[in-house]
Amino acid sequence: MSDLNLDVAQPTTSGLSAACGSLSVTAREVAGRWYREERECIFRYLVSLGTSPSEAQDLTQETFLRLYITLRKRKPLENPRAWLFTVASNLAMQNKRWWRYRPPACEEDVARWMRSEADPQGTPEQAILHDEVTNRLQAAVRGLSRQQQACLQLRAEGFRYREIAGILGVSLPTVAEFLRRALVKLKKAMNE
Amino acid sequence: MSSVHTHPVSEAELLLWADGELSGAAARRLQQHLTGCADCRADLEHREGLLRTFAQARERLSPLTASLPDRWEPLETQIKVWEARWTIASWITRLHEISRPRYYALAGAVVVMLAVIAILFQPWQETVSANELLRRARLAQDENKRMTPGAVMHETLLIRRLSANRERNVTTDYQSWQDGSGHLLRQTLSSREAIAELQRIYQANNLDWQSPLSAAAYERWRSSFTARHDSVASTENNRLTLTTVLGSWAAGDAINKAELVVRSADWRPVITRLWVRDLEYEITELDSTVATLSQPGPSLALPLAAGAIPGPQLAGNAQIKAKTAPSLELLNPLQDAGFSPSALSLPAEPVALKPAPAADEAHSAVVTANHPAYPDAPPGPPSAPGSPMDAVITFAGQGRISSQPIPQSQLPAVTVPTIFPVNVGGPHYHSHVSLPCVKALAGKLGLIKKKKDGPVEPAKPGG
Repeated sequence: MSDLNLDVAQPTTSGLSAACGSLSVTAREVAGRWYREERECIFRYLVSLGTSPSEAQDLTQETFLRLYITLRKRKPLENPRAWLFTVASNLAMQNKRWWRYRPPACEEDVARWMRSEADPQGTPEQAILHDEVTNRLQAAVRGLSRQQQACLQLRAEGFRYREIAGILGVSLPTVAEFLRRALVKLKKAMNE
Repeated sequence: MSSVHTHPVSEAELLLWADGELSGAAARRLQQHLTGCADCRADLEHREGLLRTFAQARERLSPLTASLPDRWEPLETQIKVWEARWTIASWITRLHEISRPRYYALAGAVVVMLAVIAILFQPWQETVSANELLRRARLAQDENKRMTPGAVMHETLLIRRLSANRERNVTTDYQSWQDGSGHLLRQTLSSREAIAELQRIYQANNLDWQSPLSAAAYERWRSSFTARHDSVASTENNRLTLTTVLGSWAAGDAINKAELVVRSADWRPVITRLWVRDLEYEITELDSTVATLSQPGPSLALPLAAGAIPGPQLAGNAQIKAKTAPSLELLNPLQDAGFSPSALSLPAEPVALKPAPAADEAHSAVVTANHPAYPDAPPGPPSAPGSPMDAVITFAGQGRISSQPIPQSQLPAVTVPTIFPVNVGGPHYHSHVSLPCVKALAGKLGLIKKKKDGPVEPAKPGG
């Protein structure tokens, strides 16, 4: 799906309800398709910004509801995917009850997951190294600020740097600075 | 953290280059530079490589961040709820059910009213006046502090200075902590020398350096000029930008043009831009948190008595490694016990600190807190380490703990933990508590090394 511009004929006064109905159906279809395809990406992005999973699910649905409302207003969206992440970013930043969310994963759970992820073909030393690197990376990622997390996640979602700047509402040099600091922390974690 | 880009290409251009979006003369210039500069090539490849690694590793990390919901509610449900509230057709239908004559009368009145509103208030649908924007922004910034008792506002900003001369471009951090009355409690700047000029500009233009994004200060500066042009524009990412251009371009430290960017949803200022001579300053909000002492938050420093911040006597280039995150959790019992920030006192004499400790070496510094209900509690600087009245928790680089046992009978009546950071060049930690309380706190914070078998034990006393 690329640009979105619902081309619906101007309704006449007598056909207002009917025209609203057809516009609504079209917007429903489009918003529904985006919802099915992108909701998990939006959800994961919101959690990476520090939103709890339950709130992230609510905000994800709010994001796509706003997409539907925007489509009904027949506002053109040149980059719908970037628009979705922009709305999600704004909702996360405005969440006044936001605190940096730390999942209650205890050490045993982490160790169990690590063992399940280990390559059965690899040597024990490789498995240990894999665990250590992932563990350090996980710790480093948790230490990033919201903006740094957002830049990494948006880049991992395939957005261009200019799009990331637009989504976060900052300048391109600011995005460069966020990324530079985030990568310094990650590099340090990987090399320790 | 400060960066001064000394190469004739900007980091923004490198980003555009990586995406293949740089063209024309800029692209040729950058290509030419990359051909001859191994550092920039390496930085570019390294950054893109790390980002790819993160993108791949993120799939492995995802189970630790959150599990995807087992069930997603259909979007149709949300849409129906929204439509039931706001769809005009549904309102028309309901009115029609009341009675036909009334329905036609009400419908006609509604149409006339909407037409009048649309004609008179059309500009307000898209944007607001400069005065209204500043009024709402000022209220938004004051709102949380008014509503939260004992609030402390923590702000982290990114400050960039841009110049036609790239060698003058600077980027640095700024952090501040203020109490509910706007009193500055602590302020850090990663590159003070580079931003001394900005601080001078703020003072020269009567802006608030303690709150660089202050809407009230912007309003005050703006209202001092009659010859000015204001404009408010909205952007696609739900933000409003107020631009103020003065009638005449002044030299020196005078601001000739300024912008304040606020979020449309809550009117909070998030960016300020200032144009002075040939320089442009951009101050971007990275984080803004309002919390009480009973709420943990990122990098929150404990309030101090006004002006009472003596400098420590540092031996050589001593630095203190400290964990600010755990200290936040320690503030809870302090607040719960009734300690008031205004009752805190600092040592009468500067605290003597050791040189930078080795990895396993514990390091300590102490300050005391006075509870208003116990005026006879241990005041001022502590007694010598090892005295019967001291129980010290120290935070070394590895998070080890050392404590000096004290006789329980000699403890003061107040036995709540009093561990907090102090702005004397770096956080220090101290506690006048019983040993069992020390152990309990250290265990809660994960500062005690746990043995597989046997009880928790502190590290051997150090310091």
